[in-house]
Amino acid sequence: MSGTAPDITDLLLRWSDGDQHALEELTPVVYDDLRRLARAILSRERPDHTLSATALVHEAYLKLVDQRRVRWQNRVHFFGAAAHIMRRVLVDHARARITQKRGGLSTKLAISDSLALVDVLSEDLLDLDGALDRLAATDPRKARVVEMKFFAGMTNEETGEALQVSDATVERDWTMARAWLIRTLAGKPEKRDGSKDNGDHQ
Amino acid sequence: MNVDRWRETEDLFHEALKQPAAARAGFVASTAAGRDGLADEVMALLDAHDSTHTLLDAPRISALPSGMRLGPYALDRLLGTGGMATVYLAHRADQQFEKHVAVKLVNQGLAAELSGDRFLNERQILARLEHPNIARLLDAGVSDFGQPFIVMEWVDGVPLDTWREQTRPPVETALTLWLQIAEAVAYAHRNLVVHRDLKPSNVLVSRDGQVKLVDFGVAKLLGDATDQAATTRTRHFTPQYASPEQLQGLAVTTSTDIYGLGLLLHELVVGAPPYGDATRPSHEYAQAILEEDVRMPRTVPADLAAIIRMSLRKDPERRYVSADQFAEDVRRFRRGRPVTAQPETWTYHFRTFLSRHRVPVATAALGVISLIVLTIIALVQARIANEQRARAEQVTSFVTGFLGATPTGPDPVLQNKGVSLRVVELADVIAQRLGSNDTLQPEAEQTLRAVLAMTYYQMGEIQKAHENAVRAIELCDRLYGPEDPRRFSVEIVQAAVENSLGKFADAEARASRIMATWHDPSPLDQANVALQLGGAQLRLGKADVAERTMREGVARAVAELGADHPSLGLAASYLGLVYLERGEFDRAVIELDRSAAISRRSVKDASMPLAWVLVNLANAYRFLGRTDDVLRAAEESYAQFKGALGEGHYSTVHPLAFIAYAKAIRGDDDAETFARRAVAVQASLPPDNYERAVGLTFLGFVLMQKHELAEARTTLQQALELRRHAFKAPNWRIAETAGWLGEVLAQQGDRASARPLLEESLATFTTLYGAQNPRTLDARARLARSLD
Repeated sequence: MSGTAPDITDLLLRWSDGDQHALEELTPVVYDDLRRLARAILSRERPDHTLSATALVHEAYLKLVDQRRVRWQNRVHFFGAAAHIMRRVLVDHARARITQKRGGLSTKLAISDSLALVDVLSEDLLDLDGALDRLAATDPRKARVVEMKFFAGMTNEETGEALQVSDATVERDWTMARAWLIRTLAGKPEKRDGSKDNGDHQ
Repeated sequence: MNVDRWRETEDLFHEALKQPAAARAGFVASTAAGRDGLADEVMALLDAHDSTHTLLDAPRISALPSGMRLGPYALDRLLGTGGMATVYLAHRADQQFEKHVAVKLVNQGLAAELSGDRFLNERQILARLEHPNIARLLDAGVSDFGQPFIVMEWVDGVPLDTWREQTRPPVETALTLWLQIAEAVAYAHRNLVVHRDLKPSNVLVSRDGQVKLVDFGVAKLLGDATDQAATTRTRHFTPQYASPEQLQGLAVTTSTDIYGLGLLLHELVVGAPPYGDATRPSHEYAQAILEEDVRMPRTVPADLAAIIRMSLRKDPERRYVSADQFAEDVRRFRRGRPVTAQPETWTYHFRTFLSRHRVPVATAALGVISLIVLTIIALVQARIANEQRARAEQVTSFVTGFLGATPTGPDPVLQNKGVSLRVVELADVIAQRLGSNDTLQPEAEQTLRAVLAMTYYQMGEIQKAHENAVRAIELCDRLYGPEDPRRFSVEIVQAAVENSLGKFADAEARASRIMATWHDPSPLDQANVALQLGGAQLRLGKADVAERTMREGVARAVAELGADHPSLGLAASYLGLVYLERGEFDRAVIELDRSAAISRRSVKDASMPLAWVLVNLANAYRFLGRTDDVLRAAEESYAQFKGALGEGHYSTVHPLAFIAYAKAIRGDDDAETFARRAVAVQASLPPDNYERAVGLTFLGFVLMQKHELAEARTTLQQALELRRHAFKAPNWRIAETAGWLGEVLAQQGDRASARPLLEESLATFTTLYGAQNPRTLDARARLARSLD
């Protein structure tokens, strides 16, 4: 990866400095790397895509970007871009899985519980993707906030920096977008998880 | 989507979120009034906001690759994730020995808010906490990614709830463990540290049974930074373990930890959430925390339940003052000594009932709100609180004295104080409000219907009792299924109602079914079912079966409360009735006398239990030919009824009829007056109610004595028809009415009609009592006298 890393870092720095073309160049490079990493992680058959996804972005960042040369803002921009790319990687992956399953090539595999779980999540992920597109049509910023927080695990502060808004706005956007998405996705009933406590404070 | 409408929706949604959870629906409704569909849309969003989504709310954190370093700590593996933090198992990479630690990495946008001096100060205070049952805070810092992290002693154990599930500890073991927790909390409080977030997942039990509290003060460490942002921050947390003051945004003090300790004790003892199903929507659960009483199965010893309730009171100032005091009470319970925890006072419940349910002030203005009304309301409260068995039972036994029943009429209500008709008025007000209130939750309606059914039943308002019981059972089916204690409780009332309506076979079937399916009734409940079943059997002509049913049914209650317990006084009365049915009148008098004596000990006047015993006693005297005793007992009974129900209540038919009977035998002039009053008080009953036969039979008897044969005949004919309809098997009531009617017919010269009645009467008495019983001999004499 030593060959790619400087390029990505350069592109990132150029993009941060306002060069929009840099993003266009950056995307396919990062996409390929992210996909390669994704395949590696997803093949471990862990159903928690999103957890893996954020870890992926971190790993990609650590591997692809020369951290000695970038500032915090560069990282934020990388993550911001990676969020959108990550969404595409995961959605493509989910589609592939579902096609594969329906195509009957790996029916045997689908019998396994853990794979079935992945497939259920794959469907959910595609639903979410569709709902996010609808959200973007009305309120593009909220869709971006969801992308960054959900697909790249970015903090409010990072998201705010990437979108040039305050943390509070990010939080407000997220709260509304989350409720709207849950409501929109409600066609598929969700189980409430009240019995397990996640160590959530307040 | 229309962008303007979207903004409008979003603004209202955020405004609503700033309101307390309980006030949101009202706020949205009033703000969005007249805006088509807006309120529905926002409410749907609020509901979505309060729910959890597997995908969107999946841990969305920076799961760091293992081997990565945070300061001097190298991450080994992910231990768990939550909404605010991710915990890794880690070790200190710069030391030779490998000591495991838990690294808690703070998520989301808390980073910037946590870097202040306060964070550093706070963590230093926490680091000084040294207690064997508290996981130590070792370090805190900020990662290269700008994420704050906390390093804690690693505890290799399972959360308390998991531990309880896996080990199913006996109460003794659970209490020992809990006392360790309480001592740790008390230690922290002495060091001015409040945990703020005591819940099962923060209490870890190691394999050797050692307990450690984790995250001590961490909530504050993080909370100070987040409190300001809390109003705007997403709060999609499960409020299950939040205290009322936290939900209300009030100050968090050591009392919050008392509440937390109460939650842990509840968890250990009960193993279920304190406010019912944890899958309730979180806003509903939050409201329950603020309003409902803690749910506690009846298996929890009363004192322990009182301790838990005291610690979980809504008002922080009414809880235990300190963790030490709380622990001391638990120790006292363990040693079998009296505990200091007291149930909430009735007046407290009354106040909260009024404020919560906005009972119209008119109710309060009904006059003197007697203790009875208060206790009825306390009972309502207790039932709403659901499964508050200890108190519900306490109140029930005081208010309702359900056992104080006789099979000849509604069970009496109060043992200690006179019953006021105001109770019925209050019940009417509640029933009326129920009928017009469609915002009430079905659970609350069920509770109220059940209480109304019982109240009406005990007030002798059988039809109203029936309606409410039917509705309550219907709601139970919908809410709780067929084998729920709440359903059984209402069904007991329904069986009693059926007995009162003369539907003995229905009552028998119902009570048998309750008995067969209710596996763990309290002694009093068990006795109640048995007495209703026995009462039905008795009237179905199965006196022997009835005796066994009732004796076995009350055995547990007698063993636990003593045979002379006020609530059991009338169990003796039931046995008296068995003897009465069997024709063993002397034994009946003994039992009924004993029962009356028990009742008299605890009452002055206006006691329905006593009134009913005396009715039956008068009846027994009647069969023994002790006319003066009949009059004395009937008059005393009437006085008790009058005090309890006022003049003219239909239940007074019984003493009035016996007074008339005695007076007719003695030849007093006013016998007919009493007999006619007896019939008159029954005017409010449905025409086909079998109890109407009582007034009619005795009026017929009095008229016969006065040789007013025509009216005597029609009156007795009506009575006989009612009795035949109610009692299928041979029954002395039918035999008595038939005998008198036969005698009237014979005196009118209609021997052909008289003979079969007189013969039936004799045959029935012979079957029931044997040939030598005084009543059988009496019937034989009547037959001979009339037909010769």
